Amino acid sequence: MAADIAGYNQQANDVQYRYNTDKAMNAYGRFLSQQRGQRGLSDMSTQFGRNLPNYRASFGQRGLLGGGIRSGAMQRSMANYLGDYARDYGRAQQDVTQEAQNYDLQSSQLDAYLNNSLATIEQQKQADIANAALAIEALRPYLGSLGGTL
Amino acid sequence: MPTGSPIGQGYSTLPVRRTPASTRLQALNETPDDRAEAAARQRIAAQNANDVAMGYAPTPINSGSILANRLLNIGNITSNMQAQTPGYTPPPQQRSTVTGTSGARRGGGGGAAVPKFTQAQLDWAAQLMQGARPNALSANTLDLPDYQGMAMRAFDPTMWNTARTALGEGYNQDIGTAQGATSNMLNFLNTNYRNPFTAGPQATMANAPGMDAQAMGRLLQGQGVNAYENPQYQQTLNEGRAADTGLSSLFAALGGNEEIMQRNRLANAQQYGTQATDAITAARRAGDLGLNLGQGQAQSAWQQAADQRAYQDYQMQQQIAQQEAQANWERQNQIQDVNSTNTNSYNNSVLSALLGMLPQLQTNPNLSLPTLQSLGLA
Repeated sequence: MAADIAGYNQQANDVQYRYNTDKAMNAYGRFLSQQRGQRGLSDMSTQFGRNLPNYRASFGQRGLLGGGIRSGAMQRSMANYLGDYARDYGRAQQDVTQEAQNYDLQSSQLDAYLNNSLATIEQQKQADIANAALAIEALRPYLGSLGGTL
Repeated sequence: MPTGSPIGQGYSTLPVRRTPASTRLQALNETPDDRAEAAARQRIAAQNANDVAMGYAPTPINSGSILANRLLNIGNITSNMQAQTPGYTPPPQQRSTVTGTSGARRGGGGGAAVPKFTQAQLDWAAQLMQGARPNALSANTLDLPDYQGMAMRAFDPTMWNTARTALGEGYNQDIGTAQGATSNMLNFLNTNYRNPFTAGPQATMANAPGMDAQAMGRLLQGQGVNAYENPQYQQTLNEGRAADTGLSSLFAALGGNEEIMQRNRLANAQQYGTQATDAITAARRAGDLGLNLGQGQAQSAWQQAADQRAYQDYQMQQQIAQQEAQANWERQNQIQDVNSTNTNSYNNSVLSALLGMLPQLQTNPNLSLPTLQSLGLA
């Protein structure tokens, strides 16, 4: 006659188990994403560092640099070159960050799903208990044992 | 007609009668009054019989009736006495009834000598007759024991009260269970709730891997490029800020949704708890109603039985009261009959005795005759 709450507890355990695995996978995916992005940024920075001296040297060979000479063409070219690097690097950072943010969003959604699921299961369990009490109370006059326990 | 000796002979020659066994048995149960009455009746009967034998009365004197010839004889005797009494003036009525014969009777007589009656003897006879006057009997009232009806056991509501107590205990248990479930639910929601979107995204452009925006700016400045005026650099910064802002807005929206969900869950839990307690209370009232109806029906049946029992007791009491009233009525009438019979018999006896004494009375004109009051006749 008593409410069977074992099923609800099992459901809660299942939800918690699924949450734990999903959360772990999310964390691991985020880690790999960050590692991959950081590696790309590092390679990008290294490549930029190696190319920059050669790029500057090309202006000297053409007589656009050296002896206090900084031509306007060189300045515009350097601004574009560095600006493009800054843009590419920044976008790469954004890609890495947004991948991380996506993982963060999924993690928060997992938290919310766990919270809602456990709340729903708990509410169903408590409602079942209250309904059982109600059913017993309604049946007490007909059961003969009016002082029975749940 | 002889006037004295036959009556005297009648008193002295009463025959001795053998009474039957039933009469003797009845005599054992008689009271002194009954015996006095019976003796008076017997004496009157004997005297009547004697009178009949002597030819004075063709039939016995019965219940105060006096035959005409005896009245005539009485009138003659009275006339003689009046004639011998100096200064006696007869009443007009007596004069009218006996006058016609008084003269004829004065010439009579000539019989045997009549013994002379003294005043003392006459007084003694009057006292004797007065003493023999029957006392009126009184009826004893019959009072039967009152009918004691069997006390009916009072209605016993113990069974229903026990059921009510058990139902109340069960209700407390059930309502406690429901309220406990609601309390646990609310406690769970308040304790375990954490809005996962409140903190916002963990990853932003501010903590992006690699160089931050300031380092990139310094790099550009080091190469002679004004970072603040470099469009690519500035565009990238703006894109990063826009992306962070957009994601923060998304987290804020999701966080607000979670808050709404939590409030709804709390309200739902509270509402359902109230509904559950209300429903349990209603079920308890239904149980109480059933018990009340059952007890009411039982009490009604008991009351009907009690009313029936009371009606039976009432009928028994009425029956006994009627028996008492009827018995008392019959007994009182019987006593009245007996008293009347006794009085009539006594009167007849006194009258007979007086009539028997008339010859002796007339021999002594100086006698003072007893009054009717002294004889118990008035």
